[in-house]
Amino acid sequence: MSWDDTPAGDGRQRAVRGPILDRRRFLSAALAAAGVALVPLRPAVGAGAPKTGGPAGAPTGWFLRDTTGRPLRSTCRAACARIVPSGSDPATDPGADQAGVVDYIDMFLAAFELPASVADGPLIYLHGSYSGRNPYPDYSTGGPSGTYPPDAMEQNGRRTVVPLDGWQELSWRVRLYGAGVVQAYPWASSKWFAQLEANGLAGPPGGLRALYADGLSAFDEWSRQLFGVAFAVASAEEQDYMLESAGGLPVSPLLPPNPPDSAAPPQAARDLFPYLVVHTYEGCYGLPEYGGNRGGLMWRGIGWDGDTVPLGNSVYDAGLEDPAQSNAGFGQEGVYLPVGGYRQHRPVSAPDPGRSGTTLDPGDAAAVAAGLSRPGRSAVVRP
Amino acid sequence: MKRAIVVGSGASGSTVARLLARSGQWQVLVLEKGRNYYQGLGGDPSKVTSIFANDEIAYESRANPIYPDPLLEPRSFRTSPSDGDRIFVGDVNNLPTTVGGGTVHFDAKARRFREVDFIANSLLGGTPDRPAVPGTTYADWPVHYRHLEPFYAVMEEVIGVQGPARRVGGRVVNPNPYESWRSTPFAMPPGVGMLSNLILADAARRLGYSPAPVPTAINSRPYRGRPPCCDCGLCLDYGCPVNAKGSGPWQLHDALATGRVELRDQSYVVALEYDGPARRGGRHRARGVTYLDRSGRSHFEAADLVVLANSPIEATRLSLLSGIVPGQATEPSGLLGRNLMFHLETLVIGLFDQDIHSFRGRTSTHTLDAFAGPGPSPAQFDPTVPMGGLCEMGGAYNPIQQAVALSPVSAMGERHKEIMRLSPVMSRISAMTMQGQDMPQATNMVDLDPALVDVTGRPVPRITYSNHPYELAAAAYYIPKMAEIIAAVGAPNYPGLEPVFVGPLNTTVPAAVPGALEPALDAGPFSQVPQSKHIMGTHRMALDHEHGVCDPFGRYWAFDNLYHAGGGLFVTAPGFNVTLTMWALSYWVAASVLTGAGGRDSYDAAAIDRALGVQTGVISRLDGDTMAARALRR
Repeated sequence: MSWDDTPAGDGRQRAVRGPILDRRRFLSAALAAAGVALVPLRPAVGAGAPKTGGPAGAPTGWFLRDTTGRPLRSTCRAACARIVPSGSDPATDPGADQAGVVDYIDMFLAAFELPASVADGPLIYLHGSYSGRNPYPDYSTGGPSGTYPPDAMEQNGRRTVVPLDGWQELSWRVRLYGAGVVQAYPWASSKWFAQLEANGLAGPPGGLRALYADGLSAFDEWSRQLFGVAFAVASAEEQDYMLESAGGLPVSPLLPPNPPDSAAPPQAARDLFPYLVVHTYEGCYGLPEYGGNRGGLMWRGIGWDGDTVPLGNSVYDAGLEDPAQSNAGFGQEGVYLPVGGYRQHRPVSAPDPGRSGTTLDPGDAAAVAAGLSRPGRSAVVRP
Repeated sequence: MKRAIVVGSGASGSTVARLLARSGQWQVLVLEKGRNYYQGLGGDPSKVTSIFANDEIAYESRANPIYPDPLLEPRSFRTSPSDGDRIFVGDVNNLPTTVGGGTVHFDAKARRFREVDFIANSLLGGTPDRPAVPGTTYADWPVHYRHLEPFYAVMEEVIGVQGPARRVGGRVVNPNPYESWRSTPFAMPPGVGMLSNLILADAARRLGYSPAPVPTAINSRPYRGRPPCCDCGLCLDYGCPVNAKGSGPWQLHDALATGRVELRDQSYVVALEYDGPARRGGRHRARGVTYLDRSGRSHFEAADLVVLANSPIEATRLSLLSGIVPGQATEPSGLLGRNLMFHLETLVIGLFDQDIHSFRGRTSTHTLDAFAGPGPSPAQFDPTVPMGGLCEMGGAYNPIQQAVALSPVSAMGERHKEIMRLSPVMSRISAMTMQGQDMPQATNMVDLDPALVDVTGRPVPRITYSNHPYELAAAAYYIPKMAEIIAAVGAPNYPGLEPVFVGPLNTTVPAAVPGALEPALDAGPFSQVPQSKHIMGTHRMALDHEHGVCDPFGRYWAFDNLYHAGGGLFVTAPGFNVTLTMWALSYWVAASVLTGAGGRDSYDAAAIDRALGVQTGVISRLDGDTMAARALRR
């Protein structure tokens, strides 16, 4: 078998430990291993998680399904709804539930098993270039043209993905199903395989699917133990207590002082929490085509423009002669167009009228900066 | 026709492939380990498409598909041999592995080094055998600014660099006083400035500095069949969806259009094949390379010339895997893998009360070079002023990155959402990021990890690295000056805009920089792992084999026909973004192959001067339609 061939099945036989640290340049040490600079959490507010109802397109889920004794989907959905909650009016102040985050997570965990009607391959990387939400620019007017590029990422609910090569497929199967899948890839070096565990390179033990199944089940069982009800129907305060405890965050003293041993969060819930948090962020603030952030609704609340290409924010206009952008003296004829300037479709160089709203409080700013600067242990991970 | 193999398709490999192919003398095979995410290279440039998108999940959250995957190809790190074999395994200075290499991820700041940067050791009173900075291997470059200037100029046009220097009358006028002389203006005027940069530039100007639009290899005009930038904002780490970025693929595109180049992606070169000297005292000769194709099958490809352009770290690894042993007949200098340099990135961030939509635009549109050190001409050199680096302005997170970055303040609930709405590191941030000059040290090096292997079972690179007190002191010296600029943002030109927080961070060694936000930070292994994508050294070039791995034209001393092209050749690490110098130097290397300059057992300064005229003849011949070629004719 060559490394371009596809093995079948999920074999999760081996446990490996430790997060993959994904790093970037800018401020990134702080990000990838951000310290927990804790400030007291405010009391939980807002409505509790919606208890029922399935999202369009995947009414029962792909991997996260509610089965007897394992209400994975409703537990996940309720937990995400507390991580990024909606406001008192979800229509004007949506949260993870309105964004469909559970679908985002589910489609990721089931990336290799989605039917062809949903994705034309494993949904790990969407294929660009465009979502079809933005038109081409018109270089003669400096504004949007009336022509839209084809909706390349998703058409009629079917996503176009980047086909994975053999290496990428191995890597993502290990992340999702655990290092046991390596046995289906005989070209992979056994010495390398042995190092996966030793160096904590392969993500959570048994893969992300097992992490979710075990962690969500643990949350649910713990909820029944503590509060006598399933996690999904516990109150918002009770759900917050369980999530915050599992995350090692300060909790409001909901339970009696000196809680009994049963109040200690189960290990599987603690293991899941940092992943669940990051995946909830991704499902809220990422491209809608991955299954979350429906209609881009979460972008509006934070003032993000979303994907803007091919139009972008400033549009070149071949007919514009802007003294500030003057071409005089640059280059020579024939090298580039000797005329032109930009119109800013959205402000780039100037303040954005009406955008600012609330000012940033110096206390918040200092807390943010302190969080950025701290390497060390993190409440979240980058899988 | 002779046959060349170029290993790696990034900034340097694409430059060499383009020139060898355009000469008509060479058939070129480019072997790239990563994938080709472009379609249509070599045809009509307006028809070239890619997978790239404004997609934060693909290019930030999940293992970015343009990068090597640390799960499959880990590297190891230690600060010194006293740490033992390694203290960290994972992503250590990974550069993109894909067609186009690092030029796919970069935000394309295209900066020249200055005259003084090539001869700073002499200016500080050092000699080749007595570095001016104790505890370092600081040295002059064998090529100087006057040699590279025509190559900088031509590459600015081949790639398409926007910038502020323009022609007025017959003269080139440059509003950036910190840069050295230029023979040509930029190919294009600067594009749209970002508000987050303009406010810092305004403050710097009021304090007496001269910030300027940053030369950038991104189209501000339709150029060579590619469109202008639309300032979408998702630039660094993202392939360009509209093809405005002057990425490596555009040189490959030129190269492929000659019909004399073949590009094989997913082709992992695992060994260099070579013969020993045919006669006593002669040189080794590369015969070709062995590579694994996408199915894992092994192939041998023969060549008359092999150019390693697969990054300083991977070129070292490939040489070591192929039996080129430092200090032996194949590598007489003993320096292969040594003098590894990065830039010490020092950040001072400003958080502002108002929303300045920091995420819109090209990451950074202005830089201030005042802290790069004394210069730019030797007459202006002052040995008492430390050499830091240019300061990039701006910078911002995207929404998911921001959500993660804010989690230490609050990981969940209404409080997290509230801070997301304030968007401090997406919409209200502007930073000064100094790319500080890193001192070369023989002990900072790349070798093969004694145990760790990649998914194919081959040993992976180990990076041994720690900072020299010089760069830490320089960072500490400039931090207050950077902070002063940010603190000055606001009235009269931006009334109502005020910084609410100004403070230094340091991504590389937070605990080591005096004045950093929390000096007593946990100094665990992670915080010491260098993350810079500005990778230099390991193949230092020199006038003789006592002082460097390669000759002044990139040739391995012990070989007739084996070259390194790229940042590995750098002798020092001047504080400017590296890619334009890699492009210029790769043009210089390729030109020497075409002209036969080089090939000696040692050189003196006069020999390099004599080669200059022959070398620039290649510009006139192969890029005769450029301003750079016209300037040479004058």
